[in-house]
Amino acid sequence: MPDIAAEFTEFARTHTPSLLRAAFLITGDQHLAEDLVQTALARTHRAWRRIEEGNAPAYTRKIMYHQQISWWRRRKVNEQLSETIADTPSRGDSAEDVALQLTVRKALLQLSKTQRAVVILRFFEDRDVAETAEILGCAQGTVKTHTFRALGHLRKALPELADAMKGNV
Amino acid sequence: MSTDRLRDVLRNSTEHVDMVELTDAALKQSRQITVRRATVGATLAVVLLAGGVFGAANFWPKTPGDGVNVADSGSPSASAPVEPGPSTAEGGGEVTVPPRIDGAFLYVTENNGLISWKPGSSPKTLIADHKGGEDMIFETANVSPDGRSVAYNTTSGKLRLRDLATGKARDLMDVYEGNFCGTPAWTPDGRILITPNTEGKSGLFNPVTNKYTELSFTVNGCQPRVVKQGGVLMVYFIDGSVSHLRGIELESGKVVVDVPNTAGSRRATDMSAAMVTADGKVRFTMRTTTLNGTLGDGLRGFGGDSLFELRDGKLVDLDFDDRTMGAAYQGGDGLMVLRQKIDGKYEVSIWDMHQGGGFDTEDEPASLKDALPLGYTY
Repeated sequence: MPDIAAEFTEFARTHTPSLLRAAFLITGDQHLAEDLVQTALARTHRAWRRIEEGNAPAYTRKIMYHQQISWWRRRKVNEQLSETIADTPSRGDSAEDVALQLTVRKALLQLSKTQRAVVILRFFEDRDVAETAEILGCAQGTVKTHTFRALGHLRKALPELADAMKGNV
Repeated sequence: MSTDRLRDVLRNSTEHVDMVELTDAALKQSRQITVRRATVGATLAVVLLAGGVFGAANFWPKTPGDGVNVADSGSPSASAPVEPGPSTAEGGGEVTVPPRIDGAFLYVTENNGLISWKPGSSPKTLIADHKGGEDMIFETANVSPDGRSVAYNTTSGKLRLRDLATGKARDLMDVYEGNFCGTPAWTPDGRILITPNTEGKSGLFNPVTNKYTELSFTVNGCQPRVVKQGGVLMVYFIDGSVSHLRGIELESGKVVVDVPNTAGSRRATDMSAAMVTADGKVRFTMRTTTLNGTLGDGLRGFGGDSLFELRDGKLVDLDFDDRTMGAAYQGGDGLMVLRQKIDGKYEVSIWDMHQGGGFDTEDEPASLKDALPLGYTY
């Protein structure tokens, strides 16, 4: 008989850092990120018996992205956008880097929820189109479309990164 | 700059994230969900039992009643179907959850079947599949807000009401044959049906008194929805002929809302539900297409992909896309059902527009994958 609590605890402790980083990019807020990851983990725990061995990370990630795409979470993010960005501390980066990071995060939060998820999956988590489509539960063509549009928005918001975003659809 | 630069910037942006320990909190949250469900379920058993005792057989004639009028539908009486309101789950400590969380999801099949599924139990067939025949359940059925009856049209031109507990059906009135467009719509208290007659004119039918009262206006839309808004019953529908959303006061016939059925870059093709939140916001679950897409015909739609809200005389998209929704609108209370596909499986959630948040989410049984969500009852 597997010790579900022990298995889950080990899983959660191992994966929480990477989930939190992605969640932070998705939400733009430390507390919302924690809330998102906690909820995703809780639901993973509830489904633990049904998740096939080795699939838990993908399952949790899917839950997290799908949760975030929910409209009410996005509303919360929008409401907190201005103060969140301004209050975020930086650690050792140059002023230019900090400014760029803030600009990037602000630009991310101005994307639609799905576009943002696609950008983070593709360019932060290094997922290919097929993996991204699988996680988001949509067609690969949809991922390409969202990527194209998201990068278009980011190019306008971040001209300094425009070159970096060519040809990545 | 290279692609790596973009990646670096994203990664650098997360360096300051506090790596808090969330395992215990997640475990606690997981257990709270279980406790909450059990507590609410126990409370509801009492509520529903009481509802069953006092609210049974409301749709079946017992004694001659008053004539049908709008006021009938807006004034629930002691004999009206039970309409539970928010309550605090006793004995559960922190939990305050409306009792509807313990209701049942309803699904319709393409072969005119109707299925009820209450999380924690197996799906229950309310009406068995029966392809052919007169019933147009798939095209027109709407379940009463209390979940006890279903109203639908037949190919022979009848408005039919079926008791879901007994299976007993009776024909209420004549409608025009093959009326796949004029789906009967319930008032939020479940006492009145709005339906077209044989001439296509709209009216109100009271299943208790069997009286039909013609309205002063025609609902020129296939799937109307009735809500109580500011104490007034309103019928909303998409008029496919002009691609507008209309809202008309039932009693006065006054057109209160007449706006293009578009919001942002989306055009509604059909509307599965209308609802009024506690603070008076009027919202609609819509299936949508692009602005240049095929104009909506307002035909029966299941679920939807967008949530629109009326604001300052126009529709606003609340950006609820990428979701398949069924919806419930009992009491116009802003309760709705979401269905989404994750990991090859469907999940359903109850959402409360009062609070702007979701309740619990349940994994849908695989056997329901081909059925379509029709709503939620409690």
